[in-house]
Amino acid sequence: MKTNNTIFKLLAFAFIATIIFSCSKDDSISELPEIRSGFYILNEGGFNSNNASLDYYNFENASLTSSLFAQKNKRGLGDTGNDAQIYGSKMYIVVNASNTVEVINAKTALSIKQLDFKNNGKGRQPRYIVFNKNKAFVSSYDGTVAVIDTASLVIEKFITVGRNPEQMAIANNKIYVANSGGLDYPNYDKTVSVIDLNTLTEIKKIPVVINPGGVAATADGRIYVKSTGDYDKIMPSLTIIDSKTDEVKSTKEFSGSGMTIVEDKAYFLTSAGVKEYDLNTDAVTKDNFITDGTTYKIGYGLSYDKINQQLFVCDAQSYSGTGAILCFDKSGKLLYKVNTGVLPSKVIFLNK
Amino acid sequence: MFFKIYLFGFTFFLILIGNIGYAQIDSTQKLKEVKLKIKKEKPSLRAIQTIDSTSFLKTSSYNVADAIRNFAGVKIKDYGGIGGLKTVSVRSLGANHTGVQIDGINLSDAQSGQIDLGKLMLDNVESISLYQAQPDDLLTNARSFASASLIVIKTKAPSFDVGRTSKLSLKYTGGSFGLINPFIRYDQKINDNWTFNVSSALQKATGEYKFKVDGDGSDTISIRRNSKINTLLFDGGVRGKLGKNALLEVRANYYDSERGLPDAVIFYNPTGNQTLWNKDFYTQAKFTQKLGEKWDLLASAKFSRNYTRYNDPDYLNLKGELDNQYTLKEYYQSVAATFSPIKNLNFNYAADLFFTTLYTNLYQYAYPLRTSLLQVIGGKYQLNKWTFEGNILNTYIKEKVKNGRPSPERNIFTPTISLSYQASSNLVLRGFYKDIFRYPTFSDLYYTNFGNRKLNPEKAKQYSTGLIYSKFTNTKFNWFAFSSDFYFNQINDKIIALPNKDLFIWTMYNIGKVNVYGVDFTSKFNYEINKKSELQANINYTYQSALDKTDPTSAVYNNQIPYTPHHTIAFNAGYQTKSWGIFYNNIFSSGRYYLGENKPNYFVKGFFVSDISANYQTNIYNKPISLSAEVNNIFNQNYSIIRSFPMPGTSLRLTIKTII
Repeated sequence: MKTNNTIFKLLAFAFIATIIFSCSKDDSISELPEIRSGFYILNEGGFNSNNASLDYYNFENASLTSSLFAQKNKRGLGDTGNDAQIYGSKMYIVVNASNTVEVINAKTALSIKQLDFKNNGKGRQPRYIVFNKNKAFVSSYDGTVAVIDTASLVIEKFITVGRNPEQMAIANNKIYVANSGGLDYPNYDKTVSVIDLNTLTEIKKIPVVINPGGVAATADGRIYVKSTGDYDKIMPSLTIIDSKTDEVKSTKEFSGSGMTIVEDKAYFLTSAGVKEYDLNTDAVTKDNFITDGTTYKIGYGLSYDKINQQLFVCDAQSYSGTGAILCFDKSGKLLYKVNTGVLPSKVIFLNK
Repeated sequence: MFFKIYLFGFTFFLILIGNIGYAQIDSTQKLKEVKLKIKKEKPSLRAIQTIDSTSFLKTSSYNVADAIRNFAGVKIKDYGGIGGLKTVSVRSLGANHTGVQIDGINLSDAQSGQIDLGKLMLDNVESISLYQAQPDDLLTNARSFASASLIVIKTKAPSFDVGRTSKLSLKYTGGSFGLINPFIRYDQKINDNWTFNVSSALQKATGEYKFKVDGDGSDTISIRRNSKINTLLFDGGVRGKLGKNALLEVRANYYDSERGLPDAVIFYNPTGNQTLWNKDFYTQAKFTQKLGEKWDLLASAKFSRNYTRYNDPDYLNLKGELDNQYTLKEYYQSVAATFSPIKNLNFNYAADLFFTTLYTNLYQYAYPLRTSLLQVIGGKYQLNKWTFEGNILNTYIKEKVKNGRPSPERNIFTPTISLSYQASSNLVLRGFYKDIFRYPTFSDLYYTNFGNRKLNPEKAKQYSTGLIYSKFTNTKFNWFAFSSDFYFNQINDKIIALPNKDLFIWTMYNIGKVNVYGVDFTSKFNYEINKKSELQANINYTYQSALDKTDPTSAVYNNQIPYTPHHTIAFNAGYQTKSWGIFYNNIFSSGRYYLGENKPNYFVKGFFVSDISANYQTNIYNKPISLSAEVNNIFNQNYSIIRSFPMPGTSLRLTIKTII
């Protein structure tokens, strides 16, 4: 009997202990901000970590609300938030590994629709989004650009382009898509697909330097394409395409990432600082736009606020924890720095 | 296909050995033997923790990873499920600092540096020991001295009942996850000096289990899919005496498995179709010879070939899949000698020479050939109550590659010093210092684009001090033992992957620095209720503070390194009689952080997982039958050890064993 009693006690102990340890605290949800004016930050999050997040920075009291999407919608954004843009009253967040495009109200961050980017259960891996005349265009690693109606939020069509397309830019009623072929080391793709916005079909593939990723358009219709090269013999480069003729105007070796075009200037992230490039003279004007000696650890994204004329550097910092956003004024002086989620990659402005 | 081959083998065995007599499993007899063995053990200079085959069931252990999870100072990384990768980090040094040895010879870990302990089944295992710094026995190869800690697995030697010359053991395990796991082993006495044994096992499971996705807003329970496993195992060995003072053991082992990799749980994208194949073969021979009273010799050799194939059919490249194949081969030989000129003084020397190659189908791979020459020289001296042991390990490594430059040649000397003091008949005080490193793996050095051929070894300095107390009495509370060790480990030049300047490619760097402060506490109790039954219990506790010391300006500075709980408690208790027993096992882990930064957002909650097992022995038609049942995670706790890789809820395992 004594023995049975001991076993019973052991079980009872285990049972009680389990109850105690099961009642773990819930993550406390802080007061939600009323969105007035400020900006969003997209944090890419770690791969396989389901920690992509959308932060909100409020100008008025200079405070940051972390993981706003999760707080408002009671669910996480998912894995690897790759791109986010506001078009009209909605924000579109492209979540790469989750294979979704989250459409939310740009003011309240409440979900409107989650678009599924799987093809028979297999992820297409959406990457970037651009907009034109009430249509959204999403490039996906499966070699397609999806056409989404921004009113009905229905995917109307998939346009076949090159391998593993990355960024896109619009000029002269055409979309220019960088076909990286990034998943085919060392046999990368080396073309830019041209999509006619009237017919929504690919009309041309323009050869560029291998592994193109970044694309941006100038106001006068030049397309700047940033190629990464093959990490070995072929160096990173910059190719300029004339969107009137769809011919390559020039190509030169050029290093830097996060290409951001602001009027007649382009900015690039390098390990030494932010490179400023003049689009009229096609020459580097400043090796470092930052003038006050501010440095960042790992530049992970560049964004420009047209209204306040401020340049934002997304700093991945340790790469495996809190990142930061550094805000610079026109003269390249640091105005403020805000800590963010994991791997901030983009600042999205809400200034209307 | 697997199953058919297996059935064929099974039938073949049965035909082969038609008339076999009877054996007896006498559990009380076994209990006594175990106790005697424990009593005879000399207290070690350094912490040792051992689990033997009689305890595998009591701790609900199914593979080597399960069996050692109760040890103090041990942190198992488990990706969940039967086929999930399971590696062990001891005293927070990382899995790459733990060596794994089977019957005296190490498993090669040159490719990734980590041994998947989930692959190692327990059917043929007699005991598993975890040694801090190095083993106690000086007659061992040089590689035993070459890791911060060493897991030593000893396989079961053939054994026969009086008057018998053969033994056939049969086992069948089945349970949750669609598990089917038969095992057969045959031991045969050839003559007075020689024996052989052969065994085979099949393991088949769908591996599927339910889990709750946390954070995607759904309330539904999901099923972990693509976790099937198909494993086939063959093992055979010959042991014998060559003359009076010499012993030869030869073994061969083949492991073939195909398993689905269920991938991390990604919100809104449940699909994962990756598959991993392993075909591992090794054969090894060990020869020991006593030369007079003063000299002992050990010579050993091993050939191993590990083939791994990884396939991801969802990879969006031109080919429509990612298919990587690796073949790691190692040719190993070692000689060791001990010399005892006078009583209480021993010297040891060992030299290991081995060649390791890795073939892959990666583009522009380096195809390295590594030549390693390890030599150790040391000694042990006992003076009254003091024991002193010291040695120096010399590691010489040279590599050749087919593409590009090889990693530079290395010649490294590392010392170990141990000291113990027998304070009383029950109490021993002990301490050691060891300077060791882990050599960069082939992946660290040569993985196309990621590898960094200039990497230095990752250095670990270990300082440990502790005590062990054990007491046997003739009262009912007949045995009690505890040990407590405090340690400080320092890792320098930790090998870490970071993105390079372009951000597109990750490269390995030697930049990490970690300080580990820890306490390991172990305790065992035995209470004899009567001659036929007793209560057994043990509690192990680990405290770890493993702080990142890399960069004082970084946000992760002085933060606990990822996946390192401050507190871990392993508790096992049960009641065993001659014919039946019931045991409760529990692992508690406090919360951890999945990133280097200790912020609430990066917190992974702790867990408290309980298992219950019961065993029953009887004889049917004079054949011993052993039945056991294990209920794992009895409170169906939803938890994960690695974030995004959920562990199974309550599951059941039933086993029937017999000896013919």
